[in-house]
Amino acid sequence: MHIEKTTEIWEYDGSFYGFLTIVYHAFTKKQFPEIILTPDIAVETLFLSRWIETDEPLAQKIYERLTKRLRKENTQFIIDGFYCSLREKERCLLDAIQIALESKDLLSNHLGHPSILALQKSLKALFGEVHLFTGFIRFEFAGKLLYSTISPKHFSLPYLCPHFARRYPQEMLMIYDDTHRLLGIIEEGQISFIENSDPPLSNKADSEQEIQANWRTFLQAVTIQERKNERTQLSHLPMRYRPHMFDFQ
Amino acid sequence: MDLSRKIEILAESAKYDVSCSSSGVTNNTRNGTVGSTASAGICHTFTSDGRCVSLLKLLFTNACIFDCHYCINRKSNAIPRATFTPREIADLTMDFYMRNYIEGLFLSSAIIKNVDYTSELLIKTLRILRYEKGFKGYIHVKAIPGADEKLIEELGFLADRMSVNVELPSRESLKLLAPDKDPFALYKPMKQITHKKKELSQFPATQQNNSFVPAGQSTQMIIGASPENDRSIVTIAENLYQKYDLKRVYYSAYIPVNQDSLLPAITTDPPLLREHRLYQADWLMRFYRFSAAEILSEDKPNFNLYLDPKANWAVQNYDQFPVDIQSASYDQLLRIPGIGPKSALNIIKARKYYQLHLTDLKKLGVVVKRAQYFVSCNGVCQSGLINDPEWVISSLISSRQYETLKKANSQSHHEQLALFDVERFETIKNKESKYAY
Repeated sequence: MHIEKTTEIWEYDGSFYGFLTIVYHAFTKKQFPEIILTPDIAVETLFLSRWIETDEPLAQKIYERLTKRLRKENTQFIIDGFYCSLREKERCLLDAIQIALESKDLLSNHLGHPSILALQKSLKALFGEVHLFTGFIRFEFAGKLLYSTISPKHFSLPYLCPHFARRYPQEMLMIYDDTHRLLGIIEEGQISFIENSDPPLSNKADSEQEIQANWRTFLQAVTIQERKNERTQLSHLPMRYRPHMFDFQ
Repeated sequence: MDLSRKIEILAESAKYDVSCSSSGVTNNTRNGTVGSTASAGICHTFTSDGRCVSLLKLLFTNACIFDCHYCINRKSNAIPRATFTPREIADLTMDFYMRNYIEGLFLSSAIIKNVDYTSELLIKTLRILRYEKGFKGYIHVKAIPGADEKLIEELGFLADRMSVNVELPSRESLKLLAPDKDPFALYKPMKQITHKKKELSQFPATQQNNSFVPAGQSTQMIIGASPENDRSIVTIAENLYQKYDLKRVYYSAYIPVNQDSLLPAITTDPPLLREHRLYQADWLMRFYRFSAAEILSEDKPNFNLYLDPKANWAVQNYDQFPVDIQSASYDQLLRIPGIGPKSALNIIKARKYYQLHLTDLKKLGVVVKRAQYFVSCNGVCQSGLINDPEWVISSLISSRQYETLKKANSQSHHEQLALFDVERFETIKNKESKYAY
């Protein structure tokens, strides 16, 4: 399929359905815009853009078409790619969809294409952060509920919740992401999210203080003074994870 | 004695055990109501010495009946002693695990009364965790050398990983520094676990044979307390990986904790750089398909502390380079300094559909400033570089790095001369440009 590269600038509302509407317009016209803006970054540019209105039924149709036409792994790559924090991800994703439609191979094998490489790197950053959070999150009991707050750089929370749903299948957990104002609730293994949420008020139990103190005592005891190396500690455990960890309070 | 004081004493006593990994269990088939394992392992925090904390690392007791020269817990030391109860450890593990402080438990112990009694206490603790608390998380436990085979087997079904510390790389050193330990008894539980795992793998996969030491075994060696050279340590590690199918061999730079005529003086710095080189060699054997004989030769049995083992090998075998990245096999790519398993895989993926150029390497995760001396692309090399191994060595080590290594180097100048000509190296280092013109 030949696609014409134009110098147009499009703008949409930043939602996944909005992006799928853009995919529809780009592939029916066989024209890719040069820049795709969202309201967040539109304020930074002076160029006039064309607004693409989100059309949910159409987006739903496109989503079904994509899942039918593309390999399972490639569909997942595109969905994950949409949730990563790459600056011009929409433009890269259009390229990714075009490559995925033409090739039966995995998208991650097309690293020679700059768009795929950029997406792959950004996905690596997202999954890297998710992996670190699986260890660095700290819960505390508020009544019978396990509660935690995080400040992730990327949209990590939805990728994080399944891990804890498996780990504590009989508990009730809440994880609040204060960067994206997203609240994840895990109830006996069932995951749900509340968007644009305020931090829920938590009333800590007094016994938590004692357990946190025991944890700090343990950390102090296992440190080998002769090998002190705070730079290594910093590279493994960057500062941005520390405010919510009781280890450093 | 209150719990926090016990934690202080018994975590302090356990801190010299290096093992921290919580990886290796791919599908957790244990029965239970709380907990899971991640095949890649998860680090939960890092202490200010830069080491990962993944497991609650504790000794059951530090009241030992043995008197090993290198050990902080030997019976002749006047240190505070404490002993947990099985329930205390189980409760503490669950408290920390529920709050996601830890990935599981690492339980070791000094020898109290006798080896069988000690093993029974460990079994009791693990039983409370597995059967009473329904804990499905990761448990690493020590196999006590000399304990009855039945006890070792029961521990194996309760734990995810077991380990026996070899401690010293030769029988002579063991006799001298750990007179109470029987060198043959050390390897016996290792052999037993390896055989049992092999035996169970012959049967169809069931829950029972999936839960016998699913994460395999590990061991640890102390570096610098005895006179063995690096080559013998690397060779022993290779044997352990091949014969006993070990998952990890840990190396621990000896930190002088006891004043003893048979050991380095208490003021000696731990040989951290040597430990680092040993880990690099270990990685070369496990992920880069090197053999121990390739890493160190008989006439140079110790590591060059200024140059990492891989770069050292590449410089010694300079005739095998440059390697063409567009056509080289995965194994050849792995041997290029600056290219690791991930970037080698990226190169293979990227060159499938696109012609690569030297400038693409950086994007694919290659450390170009190291790799540039050893690669070509469609017959084209980086222009203007001098093809002389001595120049390559000096270019691979920056001046600042050289000064840092010089400070960290515990070998004498005379020993270094045997590795490469330090004087010539320094004159080359003082010249500014690495280019011929």
